[in-house]
Amino acid sequence: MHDRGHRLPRVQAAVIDAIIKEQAPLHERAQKFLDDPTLVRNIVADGCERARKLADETMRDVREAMGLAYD
Amino acid sequence: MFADRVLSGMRPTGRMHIGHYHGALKNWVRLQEEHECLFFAADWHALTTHYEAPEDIAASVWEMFIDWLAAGLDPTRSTMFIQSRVMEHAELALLLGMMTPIGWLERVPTYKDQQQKLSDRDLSTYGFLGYPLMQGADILIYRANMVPVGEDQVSHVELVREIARRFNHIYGREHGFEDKAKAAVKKLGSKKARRYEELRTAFQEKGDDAALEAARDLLNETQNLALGDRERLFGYLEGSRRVILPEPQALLTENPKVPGLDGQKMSKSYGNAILMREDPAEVTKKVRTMQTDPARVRRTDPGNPEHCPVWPLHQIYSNQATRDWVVKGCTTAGIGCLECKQR
Repeated sequence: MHDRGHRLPRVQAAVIDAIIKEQAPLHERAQKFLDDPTLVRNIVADGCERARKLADETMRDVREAMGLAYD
Repeated sequence: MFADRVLSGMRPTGRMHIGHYHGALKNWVRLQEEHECLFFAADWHALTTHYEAPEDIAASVWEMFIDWLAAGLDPTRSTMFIQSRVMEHAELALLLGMMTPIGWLERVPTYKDQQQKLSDRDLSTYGFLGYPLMQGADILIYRANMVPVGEDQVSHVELVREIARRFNHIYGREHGFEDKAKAAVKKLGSKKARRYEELRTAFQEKGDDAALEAARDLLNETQNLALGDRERLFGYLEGSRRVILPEPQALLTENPKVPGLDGQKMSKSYGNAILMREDPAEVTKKVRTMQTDPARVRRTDPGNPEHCPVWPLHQIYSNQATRDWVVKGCTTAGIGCLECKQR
């Protein structure tokens, strides 16, 4: 991929190579989400729903404590 | 208060760069192995400073989520969501605003700072002033006890703790609290109840912080408690009020600083970023053309790695032997900058 091999034979761990190597699995993991954006939408929709459930538990207590319980 | 829960968020800035990756995302991926985690796209926060540029928010959010997943966030372990899709955040922010003195918000160090720094826009807005309060709602609504943040955010978490304390002080009052708390202690079972009382006494009479911690652990390990009783038992340890909103802790992790290609803060808007998922040819080009120590005009001029934007990359990506070689070579002009970058 690079042409420096013969110029700098002692090179073992180029910063450039290290970055490219580090990013390879990131590219790989991203691919299926790039191919099918609905996967991401679904993950986030599930996440929002779960977050809302947890938030609601706290809000029941907060509303009650602040005098806003009507049930 | 409950089991450990981690919460953190990021403003939607679109595709992430390696500064985001090393500064936050790698840490999130680690945290999800050990704790329940919630991570959110802070789209409302984006509007506090960029209210005049809403066009890119949605697209940026989706791009950001792809990079979170690429970094290794696992949807079966981490809850990923969009702030504005959980409207309760706004409700809690509104309610917290009822009891938060304006002075607390005006005193936040970043408030005046950012107003001056981002002088190209008018930030004398209600939304910008209230931003730390919204952040408080983001955290407190999940009763998250661990909040991984950068150094610049520690003062915000401290403010959130103050807001939680004030909230509990005002709204944790309850008619017949002491009797209800005592009844709750009994429900722990005789062995745990005795231990709880011992620890509570040790804290209240001798200020033994370790005892307070131990008592909290004991409650955290106790599964079958009604929520109201749990709040009472936590509150009874320290005083005579329920703890409705537990105080979070900032989780300050030692993250390497990743400056941009020009040595300034890495940011896509400065055009000095290496993206998290950069094309390999582009990585090569960007690093090769990076600025180096300005003192090294000629190959024979010795340099100082501390003045060079490439050096932090070596600190992240290179082993000790290479780093030693770089320091020696750079400071004695034994190596050239191009050699160093390709190392």
